[in-house]
Amino acid sequence: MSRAYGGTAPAIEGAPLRAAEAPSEGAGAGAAACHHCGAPLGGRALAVRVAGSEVRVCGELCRTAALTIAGAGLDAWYAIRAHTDAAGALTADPAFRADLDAWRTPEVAAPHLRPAGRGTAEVTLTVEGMRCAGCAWLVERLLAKAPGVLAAAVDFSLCRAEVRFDPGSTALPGLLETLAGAGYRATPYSAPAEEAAIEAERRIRLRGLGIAALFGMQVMLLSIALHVSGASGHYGGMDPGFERLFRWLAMLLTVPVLVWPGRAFFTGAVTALRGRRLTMDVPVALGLSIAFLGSAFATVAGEGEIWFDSVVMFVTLLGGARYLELVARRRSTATVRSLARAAPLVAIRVRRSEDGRAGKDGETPDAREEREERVPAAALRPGDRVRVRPGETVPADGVIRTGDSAFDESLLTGESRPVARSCGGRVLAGSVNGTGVVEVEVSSAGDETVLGGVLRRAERAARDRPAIALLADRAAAWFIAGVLVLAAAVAGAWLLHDPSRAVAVVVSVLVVTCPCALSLATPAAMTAALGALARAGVVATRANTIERLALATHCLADKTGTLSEGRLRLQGVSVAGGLTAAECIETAAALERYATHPAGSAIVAAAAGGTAGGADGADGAPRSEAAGGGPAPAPHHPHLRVEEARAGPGGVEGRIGGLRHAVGSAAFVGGACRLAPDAFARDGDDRGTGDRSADSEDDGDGTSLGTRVHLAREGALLASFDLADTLRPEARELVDGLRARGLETTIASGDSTAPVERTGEALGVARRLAGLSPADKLAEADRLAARGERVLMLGDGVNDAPALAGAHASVAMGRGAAAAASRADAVLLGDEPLALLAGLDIARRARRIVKQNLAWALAYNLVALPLATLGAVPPWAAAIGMSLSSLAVAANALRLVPRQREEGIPGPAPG
Amino acid sequence: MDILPLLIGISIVVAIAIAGIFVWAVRSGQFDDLDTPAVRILTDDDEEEAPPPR
Repeated sequence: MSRAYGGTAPAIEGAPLRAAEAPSEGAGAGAAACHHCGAPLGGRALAVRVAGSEVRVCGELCRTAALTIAGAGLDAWYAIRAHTDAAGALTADPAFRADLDAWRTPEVAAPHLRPAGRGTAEVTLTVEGMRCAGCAWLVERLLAKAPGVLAAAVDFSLCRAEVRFDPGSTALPGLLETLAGAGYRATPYSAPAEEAAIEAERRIRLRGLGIAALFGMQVMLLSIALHVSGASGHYGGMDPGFERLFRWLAMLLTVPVLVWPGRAFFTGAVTALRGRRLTMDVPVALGLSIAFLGSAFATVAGEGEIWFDSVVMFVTLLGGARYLELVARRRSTATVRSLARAAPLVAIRVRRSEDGRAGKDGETPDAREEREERVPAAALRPGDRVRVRPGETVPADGVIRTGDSAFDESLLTGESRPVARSCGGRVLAGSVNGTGVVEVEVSSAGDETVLGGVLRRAERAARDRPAIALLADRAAAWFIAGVLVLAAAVAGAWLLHDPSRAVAVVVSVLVVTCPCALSLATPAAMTAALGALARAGVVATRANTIERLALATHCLADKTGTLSEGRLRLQGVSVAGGLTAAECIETAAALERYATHPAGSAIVAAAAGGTAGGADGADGAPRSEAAGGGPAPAPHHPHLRVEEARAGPGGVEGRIGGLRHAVGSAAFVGGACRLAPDAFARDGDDRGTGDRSADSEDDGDGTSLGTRVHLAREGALLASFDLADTLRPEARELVDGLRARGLETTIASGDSTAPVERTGEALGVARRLAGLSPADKLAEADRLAARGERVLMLGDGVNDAPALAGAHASVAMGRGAAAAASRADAVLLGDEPLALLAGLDIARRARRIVKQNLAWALAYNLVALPLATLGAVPPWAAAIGMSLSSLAVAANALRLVPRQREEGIPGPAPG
Repeated sequence: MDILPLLIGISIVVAIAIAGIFVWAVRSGQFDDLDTPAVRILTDDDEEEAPPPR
């Protein structure tokens, strides 16, 4: 957390930089765009010398990113990337810094490292933010060129990187920082045993598929020869010796197909029958056995039909369908796991020398000898004392014993504004400490926390849901039973009528009814749709996501972090003194660098972003420095040197140019700069912004969407800043788009009434509910469901997790809490809400195609089954018909695959 | 037509060889990631053109 800029990017330190930068006042920047992030250059621009030419960037964050990329010799990235991405903000994100700190703790990092021989270690990283070919390439190169790294390989489709490195010369946090410097957030990842099992099964099935196809081709060659000119063929004339040879060869070549790839069907059928269930494997295994045994008998006897071709084709096509299904499942589970990134929760436990006074007496502990130790949060016990610094996540529920601070509980409660807590106040695990260092006495840890309770509720909601899936299984069992009964009846009838053809007819019936097209219909379309969704920025995490999304009729949307940005932004500046707005922001930012209040971060971000509006995109991410820890960073302007800086409750004061300045709440600023109490009121009149100023006048009351921060010089108010959690710019379009698709929206927020009302008005949403607890949200989803709506829950926080798990369909924001993402049916990558609309369209198209496929497969079965029952379809025709219908189904599904991606990767970098 | 048994024999040997190669390829992870290599090859030439990083 501390010394944020000291260790920004090892890549820079490792490479001799020709890049030299000089701050410039950017007055003539005009309409130019930032070299790195592409944002229009506003009031200020920085000139950076990269690879011999001077370019302009919009702020310090982008400069860091540009230098990191240039320093590693990777300028070509700018040429090949398809979209802009403000990257550098990540290195300064307090949450990321806290994570990095956690990974420095050996106990936390060790489980993710695998020894790789000769003293090297291997680690798998999940990398967020890789969106195009250029990203994958850049990540791989950044890693490969980082000091101490021996090898790096990126898996683009799973968003992962495998890195082998020398633990002696680099460490895990160094790797993470290297990537963060270019805007990619990486997290160590350990594949759970389950995933390894799926991977092993995938290999086995792929191998089986290859074997089945290869040997199947041989059998097919022989069979076609037999069909054409064998004794029973159309033209006849085959030498009887060859015919015998061909039949025996076909049988011998079918055996490996049956015992290797085909074995899965037999074991599956046996397991199902043992469990007294009927699965598709049962008729499949039955059909395969009858066909093979009948053919083998005919081969040995030297007369009668053989159906080895049908057997191999059956195994191959069915194997292919199941393989596709498995691959789709593997990819979606892997993506979810990557998203539910291991929160490296580390607590700083404070231990005092046991002198009899340690404990709960609440006295000032400074005098005593104390020792800090880093422990995993899971190891905390009630009664432990933990220290939580600004920007860190509170590791357990507890009571503050020393210090006071503002806590961001938005992920837990939906409350958009930081909540102030002082000595004796309760804090909740999962909330983020904003301002001051506090010492917390743990009252409950781990599963016992409020957070744990919310997660348990989500677990329960998820368990209650799959009733529908079970219903489908039961229907399939009935269908299979019907097929088996029919086959038995047909066999009986034909045995009475014409015993010589009974086997052939039964095999035909079993092959024809094999729901090959039927079983391929859904997975093929789903696989194609999942790919299309992923490209649109929506990652489906469950098998039935697409159907659920397509059927949704009502959207229940969270506010904070979903419809709104979930963090404070500078909304406006009202200037009271002689300074310009830009100067006021600079001055306030210079002071706020000494604090880590979210409001301060917003002002610092606005200063760094260069525009009073707080810039856009990730560029405006809050930055923060540790309060009072280490040397303070230099402000942009040398003349804004802050002396005697001191962060107090409610603000920061210090001397600039010999004059006392203060920034913070009205009370704090008034006290520090000896202002008359009416100074603030007069300011409100001066601005003349009417109603807006009236309800944001008092930054303590609950009617405002945001807060107000003032800047003053000794005896004079300089400016007031309006800070608020702003609506996402796309929110309105999202709500309108949903309505156009027939989905009404309800806002369900844990925030207080006023901000929710205002959001609802701004978006044109009539139904809005405020102050909901996590359980209330789930109850609301259930209530809508009881009215016959199929609810699509859209949320980002832990407090949305139960509703996400319990709703008909659910979509989580990618940047939200891992707990929410892992419970949703789909996750929006890149935090772009509009991707949901594209996702809905794709899901609906996919559902339409699945329907067409099912209709086609069903029609085929309805026509073919009576014919087969009557003995009009020989087994080989049944098999060919089946494969043709499967091909038709697969081709239809391919329509979902987007046309050639339009990313347009240009050639090598110019020059 | 006497050549037929020989041709059939050869085709079976070839098929078994291909199957062996395929099994080896799957086992050694050649089919694990079919997306990234396609992406990687596009940009590999840059190495010669870009000045060496150090």
